[in-house]
Amino acid sequence: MFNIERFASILNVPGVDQYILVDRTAKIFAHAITDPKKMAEIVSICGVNSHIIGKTNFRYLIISRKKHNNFFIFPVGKYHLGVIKQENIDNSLLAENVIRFLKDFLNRKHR
Amino acid sequence: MILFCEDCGKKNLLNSIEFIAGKPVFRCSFCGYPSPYHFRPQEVRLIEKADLFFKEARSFPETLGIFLYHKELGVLKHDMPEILKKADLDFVGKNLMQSYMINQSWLGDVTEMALFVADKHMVVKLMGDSLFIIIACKSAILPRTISEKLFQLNAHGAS
Repeated sequence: MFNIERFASILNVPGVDQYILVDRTAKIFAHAITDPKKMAEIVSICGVNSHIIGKTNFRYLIISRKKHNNFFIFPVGKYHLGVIKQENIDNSLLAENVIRFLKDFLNRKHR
Repeated sequence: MILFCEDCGKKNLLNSIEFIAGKPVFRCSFCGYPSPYHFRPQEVRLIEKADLFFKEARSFPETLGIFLYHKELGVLKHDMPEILKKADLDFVGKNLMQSYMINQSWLGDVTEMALFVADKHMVVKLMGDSLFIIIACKSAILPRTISEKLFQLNAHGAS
């Protein structure tokens, strides 16, 4: 089980504007996002669909938007993480930052 | 989509079409007769231009494959590695389309979607309101030339 309080430090990751962590049924475990119910549904459905295609090789999904506040979905074990990026950061840099955060977080969890 | 067979007149629930001598047809599930299928004008324009786009996009070493997916009819055209059968592409296309559509309907301002699997990327772009172009490539971002041609294809198809 996640330490939810510690997970909230994802907001300190450069480029992360908002986030939400959900399971496959769209149950919310942590969030700091506008309209969490709607975003939980999106993250859960798209996360499951992406996992069906990529299996364990699914790295992330990017939904590009007109205002460049792109929406990302990452697999985190049996959960999925949705992240809205800040407009002024590159997609690949944001993805690298979040993946690094998740690795550190999961490593610390197992120690 | 429900269509009636030109030969026996029976009602068919349409979920795929085939091309005979380049013409789209749907095969009657009762008598097997191939009745002509008529795309909407915007779809016809996009499908015609897609052939040229496939060739141009394929000339880039970053492009691994490309296919055209219709919201209701599944894969229409593809130039993907042979290991992937039409059923595989229909499956991938359907899942990508569902993800795109839920984002489009709930976020409203989606311009493109990209799925990253291992070291490959699948870029999904909606053309018009029923066709998706899906490009499998090695790089995270489409080469600028492909992006521009994709934009032109969509602009011409819509006009």
